Amino acid sequence: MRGIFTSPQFKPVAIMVIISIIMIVLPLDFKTTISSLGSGSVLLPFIEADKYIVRVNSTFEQNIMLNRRLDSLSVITSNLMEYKSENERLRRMLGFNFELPYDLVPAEVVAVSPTSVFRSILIDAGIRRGVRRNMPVISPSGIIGKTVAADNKASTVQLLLDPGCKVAARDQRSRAMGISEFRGGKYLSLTNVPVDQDVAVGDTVISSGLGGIFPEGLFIGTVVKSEEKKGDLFRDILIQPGADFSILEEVFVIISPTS
Amino acid sequence: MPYFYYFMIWFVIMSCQLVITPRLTFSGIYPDFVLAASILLGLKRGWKMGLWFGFALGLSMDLTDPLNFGWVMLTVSLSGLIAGIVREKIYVENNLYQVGIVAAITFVYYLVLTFIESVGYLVNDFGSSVLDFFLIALYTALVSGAILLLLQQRYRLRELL
Repeated sequence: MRGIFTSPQFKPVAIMVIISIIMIVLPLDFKTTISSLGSGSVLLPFIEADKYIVRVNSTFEQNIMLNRRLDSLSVITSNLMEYKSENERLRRMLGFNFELPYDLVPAEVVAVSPTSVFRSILIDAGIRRGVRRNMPVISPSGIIGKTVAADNKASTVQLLLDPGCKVAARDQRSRAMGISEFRGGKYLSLTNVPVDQDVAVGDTVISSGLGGIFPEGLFIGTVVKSEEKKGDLFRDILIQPGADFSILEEVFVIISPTS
Repeated sequence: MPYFYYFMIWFVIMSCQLVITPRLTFSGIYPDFVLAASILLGLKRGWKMGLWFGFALGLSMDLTDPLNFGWVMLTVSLSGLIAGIVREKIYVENNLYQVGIVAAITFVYYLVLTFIESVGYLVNDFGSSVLDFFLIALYTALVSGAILLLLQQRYRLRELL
């Protein structure tokens, strides 16, 4: 036992372990601030280089696709301009006022770990822009996760790919209720769905609004597997998430449902 | 070694980890450059280099994941330390042996890190998780082998230039 304390490794290892433990037990808000500062300075060249490569890769493919669409869209646009003016005129006549059902705060992803088993991301919207803890974060292709900490300028988002991030969900077609959670692998699991419920491959899974954090109707993903396991009370359901977590760049935080 | 040299090693490894790793990822299986570098430094230069480089690299990686802040720093630096102790006790100057050490430590690293961060995750999908960790360890070991071969060729390259 005495040999451990007199070994040359003891002192540096003890210092390193103490520093690590201090880092681990820091409040999450403080960790978010440190990550925000680190990502904006030390890691900035790497993050920017990564973003640049992603943009260059996607620009070439997008360019070909956009050129094809441009031709057809120019015709459609002129028609739509007509419809728009007609729509506005009719709305004014009927007294309609169209709004999105939520107040959204756009944010950019500033740091993402490429190798962590349980992933969180850092976004550049914080308390100053109205972001608080436990607010849903979405992208145009579906739910991303929820905020778990916020400082003035940045927030930590716990992704759906973290086992701690659970969403009360339902099958849009059959209305079967369950809980969407990550249990490893490539897909999300829809748990607590009794075997007698009708959930089929290809069904859309949306948030049910019962968890208290995610409002009803947000797209989570599509069912890719729905099986009854012999002797089990619940179905074995896997969901392909709508959002592609490997190319997250811009996201939206739902501040509150619009009253 | 001068501090500039240390900084350059850190810079190259972080570039690999944050810029190259996403391009080398297939179905969630990726090479962990940070871990490979810490272990190789421990094996080649001793436990002090393994420990402190693991500490610096782990801390840099922790900045990208506030939710698990501190854990990567702790486990990567301990991996570097273990590699350094392996060097002192049972060192063999052989690429295959060193690549094997990298694979073994990487596999245990992921098992321990996942156990620390979420036991439930590991228990729910133990078989699949272990397979993933095995493949990550294998991939990391392959990349380490390539780095070792490249380093061994650097004198030849210098002569050619």
